[in-house]
Amino acid sequence: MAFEAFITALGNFGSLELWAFMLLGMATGLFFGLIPTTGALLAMALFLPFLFTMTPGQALPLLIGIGASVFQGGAITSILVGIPGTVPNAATVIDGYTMTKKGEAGRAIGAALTASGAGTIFTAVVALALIPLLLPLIMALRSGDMVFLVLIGIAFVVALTRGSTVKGLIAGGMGLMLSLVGFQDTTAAERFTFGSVYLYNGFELVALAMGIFAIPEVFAIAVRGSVISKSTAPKMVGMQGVWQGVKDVFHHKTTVAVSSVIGFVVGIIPGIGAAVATFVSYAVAKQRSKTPEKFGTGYVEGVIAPETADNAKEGGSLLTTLALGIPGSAEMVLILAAMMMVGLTPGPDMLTRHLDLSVTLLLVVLVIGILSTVICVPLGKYMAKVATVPSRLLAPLTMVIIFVGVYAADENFKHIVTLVIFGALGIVLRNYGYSRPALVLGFILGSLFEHYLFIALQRSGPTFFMRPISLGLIFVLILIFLYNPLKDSIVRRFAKGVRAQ
Amino acid sequence: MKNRGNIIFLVIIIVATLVVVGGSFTMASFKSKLLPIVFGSGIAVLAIVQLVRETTRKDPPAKVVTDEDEEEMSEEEGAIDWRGFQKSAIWVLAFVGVTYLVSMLVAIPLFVLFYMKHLGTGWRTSIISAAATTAAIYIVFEMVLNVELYRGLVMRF
Repeated sequence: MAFEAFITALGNFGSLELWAFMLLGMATGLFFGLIPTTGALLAMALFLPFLFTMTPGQALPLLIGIGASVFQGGAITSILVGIPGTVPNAATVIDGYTMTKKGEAGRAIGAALTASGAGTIFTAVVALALIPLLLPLIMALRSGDMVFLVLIGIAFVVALTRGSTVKGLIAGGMGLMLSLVGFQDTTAAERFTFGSVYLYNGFELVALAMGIFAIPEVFAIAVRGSVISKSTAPKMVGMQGVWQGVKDVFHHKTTVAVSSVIGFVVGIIPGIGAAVATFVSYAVAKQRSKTPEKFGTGYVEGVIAPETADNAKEGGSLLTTLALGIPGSAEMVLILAAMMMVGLTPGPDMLTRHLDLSVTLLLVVLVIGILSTVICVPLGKYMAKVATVPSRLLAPLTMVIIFVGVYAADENFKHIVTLVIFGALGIVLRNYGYSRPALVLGFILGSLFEHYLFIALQRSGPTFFMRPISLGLIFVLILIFLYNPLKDSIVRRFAKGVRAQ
Repeated sequence: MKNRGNIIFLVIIIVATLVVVGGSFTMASFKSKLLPIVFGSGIAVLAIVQLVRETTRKDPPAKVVTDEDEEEMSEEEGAIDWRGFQKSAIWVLAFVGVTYLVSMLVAIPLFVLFYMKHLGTGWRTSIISAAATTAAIYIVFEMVLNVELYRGLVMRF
C-alpha cells in the first residue's frame, strides 16, 4: 500500500500544475523569510482565501512550499543584516552575522543554505520511511481514540507554547466554543446563531484564521515601523566564499546528522517550535566540538547546526499533522485549516484514503529543500535586498490583500465584519499572551471532537474510553498537563542548587 | 504590574461564557447542550482562576531602568504600543466604512494613499502605490478570478 502510494506520488510530479503551485509557494516563502517580522504564518494566511477555488493537490503544495522555504530566506537576512528573518533563524545570527563582519558572508551563506537543504532532505526521507511503520497504528484507531487524539492536539499546543498554561487553555476552550456556533450535525439543532442565516454554517474559517493570525501581525508591522535601514543594507558576497561554505557542510557531516535528528524529533513533538530546535542543536554542536571557544566568534559550525535543525523540523511536524491531525506549530495549524477548506479530514484518513497525497506532500518538502538551496546559493546576495522593503509599504498593501481576499472567498461583506471582530480579538490575544494557535486549533478540531464523541458514545456507551489505546492516550494527555509544573519545579530546584554552590 | 486591560478581558470572557452556559440549559436536546455547558463552564472556571492571579499579583519593587532593560521590555506586555494599534484600527475601520458605503474599488486607493502617507511615505510613492494596488486588485480579482468586488450602498443606487 505504501509502495503503491509512493509510485503514484512520484507520478504526480509529472504534472506542471503541481510544480507551478510548489514554486509559487517557494518564491513566497523565500520572500517572506527575507523580510524580518513577517514569516511563514503571515505568508500562509494571505493565501487562505484563495484555497476554496483549489484542489488539495494545488492548495497543500502551495502552503507546504512556503513553510519549507521560509527559513532559507530568513537565513540570508540573519547572516547579511544581523536581523533574523524568522524567529528560529535567531541562532544563526550569533555566528552568521559575526562571519559577515569578518568578511566571510559568502561562506556563511553557502554553509547556511546547504545545511538547510541537507536538513530538509533528511527530514523528508525519514518521514517517508516512517509511514509504513505508522500505518498499523493509524488503522487501529477508533472514534473513541480520536476524541482523545483531538484533545492531545489542543493540549500540546496549549502546554508547550510560551506563557501561562491557564491562558492557553482559555484560548483553546474559546476555539472549541466558537466551533459550536451553527447547525449541529447530529441533531440538526441550531446553536448560538441568534437567528442570523450567516451563522447557520458557523463562523467562516478564512475570516477567523486571518483575523486571529494575519491582522495582529500586520498591525504589529505598522506599529514597529521600519526594521532595516539603508545603512545596514546587505554586504557584498563573493561566490568563492559561497562554495567554501558548501564544502564546510560536507566537512561537518556529523554536526549535520546530529542537528537533523534533533530537528526531526522536535518537529514530531507538537508545540515546541523551531526556535527550540535551532538553539538546542547549536548548544549540542558547541558541546560536541573540540573547539567550543570558537562558537560565537564567527565559526561556520555555529551556522550549520541551527540551519540544519530548523529545516529538519518540517518533515516531523508535517508527519504528525497529516497522520494524527496534531499540528506541530502555528504554521501547521494553518495547514490543518487548509485541509478542511479543500475537503480533507486531518488525521488517519490522510494515511489511509489519501496516502498518495500525503507522500506527495512529503516529497514536496524534499524537492523544495533541494530547489531553494540550488536557487539561493548563487542568488542570495541579490535576494537579501528584499529585506530592506520598508514596513510603511508592506503594511497597507498586506492589509488590502487580506480584506479583499477574505471578501473574495464567497463574495460576502459579512466575512469582512467577521474578520474585523476576530482581528480585534487576535490583537488582544497577542498582546496579552494568549495562545492564538490554540484558539484556531480548537475551532478547527471542535467539530471533529463533537462528531467522534457522539459516534463513540453511540457505539460503546459512556465507557468508550476503556480501550488500551484510549487509556494510553489519556495517560499522554495527563503527562502533557504535568509537563509545565514538572519543568518549573526542576528549573527551580536546579537554580536553588546553583545558588547554594 | 497589574494588567488592567487583561483583567477587563477576563471579566468579559467570564460574563460571555456564563451567558452561553445559561442559554445552553434552555436547549431541548441533550446532545446540543452537552458540549456548550462543559466547555463554557470550563472556560469560566479557568478565567476566574486567571482573574484571581491577575488581581492578586504583587507589583515588583521599582528599579532603575537601563537602556538594556528597555530593549528587553520592548516585546513584553507592559511595552505594547496600544496607541499605535488604536491608530491602525481607526484606519482599518475607515476602510471598512468606505467599502460599505461607497465601494471596495474606491476604498482601496484611498486607504493605501492616506495610510501610507500616515506611516511616513512621500506623496509620490503613496500615489503610485495606491494606483498600482488598485489596478492589480482589479485585474486579479475582477478580470482573472471573476470576483465582483463589493459595491457599497452608494454604488448600488
